[in-house]
Amino acid sequence: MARMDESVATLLDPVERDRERLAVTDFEAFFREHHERLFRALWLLVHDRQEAEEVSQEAFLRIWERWGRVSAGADPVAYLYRTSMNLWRSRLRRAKLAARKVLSPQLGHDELADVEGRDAVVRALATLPPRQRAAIVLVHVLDLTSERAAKVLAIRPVTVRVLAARARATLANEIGVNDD
Amino acid sequence: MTELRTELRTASQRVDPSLDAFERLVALRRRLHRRQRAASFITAIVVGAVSLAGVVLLLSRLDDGTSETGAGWQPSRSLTLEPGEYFYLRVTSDEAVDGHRRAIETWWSPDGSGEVRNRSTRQDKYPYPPSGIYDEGAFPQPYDVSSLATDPDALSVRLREGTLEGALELLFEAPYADPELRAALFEVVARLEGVTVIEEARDPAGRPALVVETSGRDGEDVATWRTYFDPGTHQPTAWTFGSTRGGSAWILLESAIVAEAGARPTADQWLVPPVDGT
Repeated sequence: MARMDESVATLLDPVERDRERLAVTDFEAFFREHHERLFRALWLLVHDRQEAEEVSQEAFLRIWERWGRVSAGADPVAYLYRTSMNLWRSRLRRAKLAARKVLSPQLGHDELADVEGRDAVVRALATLPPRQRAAIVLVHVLDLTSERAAKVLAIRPVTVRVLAARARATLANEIGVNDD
Repeated sequence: MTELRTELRTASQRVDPSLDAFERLVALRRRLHRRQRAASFITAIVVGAVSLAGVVLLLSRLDDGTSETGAGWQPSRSLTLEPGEYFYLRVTSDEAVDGHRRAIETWWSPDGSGEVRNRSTRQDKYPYPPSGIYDEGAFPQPYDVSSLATDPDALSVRLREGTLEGALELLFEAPYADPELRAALFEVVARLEGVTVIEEARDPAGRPALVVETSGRDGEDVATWRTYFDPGTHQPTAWTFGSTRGGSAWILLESAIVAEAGARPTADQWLVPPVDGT
């Protein structure tokens, strides 16, 4: 009923309608600023374009539904990443098939298969445990500090550092790059 | 680490997000809200006992050359709600929309007093209107529609998106408007394209009915809403929803005018045929 009250109030009150328009504009700017980075990071995590888009869309949708509260919060971006990570992990838990797909070094056979096949780091990333993968993507692709990444993953900063270090070591060994 | 970081970032650049990602998000949000509205729409109707009297005004308008009333219910009393009397409404719905059955009885007086008996099967999700006896002015009225214009032209400008869906939505979301406003709302609805009147129909309970049918896009699908009215009294008797996507829902309405809150109607007080025939 609260939702209906709000919708009626929006219809009735020009000020409320203006606020909603501003909120949409505000959210769209937020979306356009962060969507691409989030999508790319999710793609590294899930290894599937469609799933990355689905998780991204669902995360943004949830943020949009709570935009008034989220935008007034201390760190909307961290909230977005945390929502995305939670959605991704929920999918992992829910679907064994999805989990096998994500955890397996075998890559998907979508239009990106050729690209992926040429990309050693992507293949190596797919072999990492999900928590390590999340940690390294948050820290090294999305540039979060270990403290912010810890909030996103709901773990301690030291754990993030450990997970990221293990992931780095594995990846460096797999693809033969410098992990200094 | 720099080299590894570069490798990771380079890899992430190998895919591009859809160019229409935001537009798809907007469409996704609309679909979500439509689904939510399907459930809240029913709740709004359940709550909106008072608005139903305004339907008479709509059908009176439609009678002006657009439809003819058949031989419907012939009540023993007038449709006028006299001081001290209560408008009784019993609403039951199926489980199709959300898996829960609604069964609500309301007794409403124009002075804002009345009684609600809400026996819906999931009180935590649909606690409104709360059961209880309400003193003058205390009957639950969740919507403040006092600032809405009563001029249909002005009103239509303010309707969300100017669509039929928006008009219908407001119609049922603003159940406690005064008669003038309800008339304006119905007039806006009746003006819009897509409203069809079907005569000599039957409502889901088998009662004779006139049907006001509207359809609207639901993403790639078409949703159809039907409101059924008794041909004799023009009181609403049912509401149904269906979609080409599959799924449907119905609500049955039984209205009467009774002498006191909490009293069940006697045979001569019904404004529509009662579903169980008593």
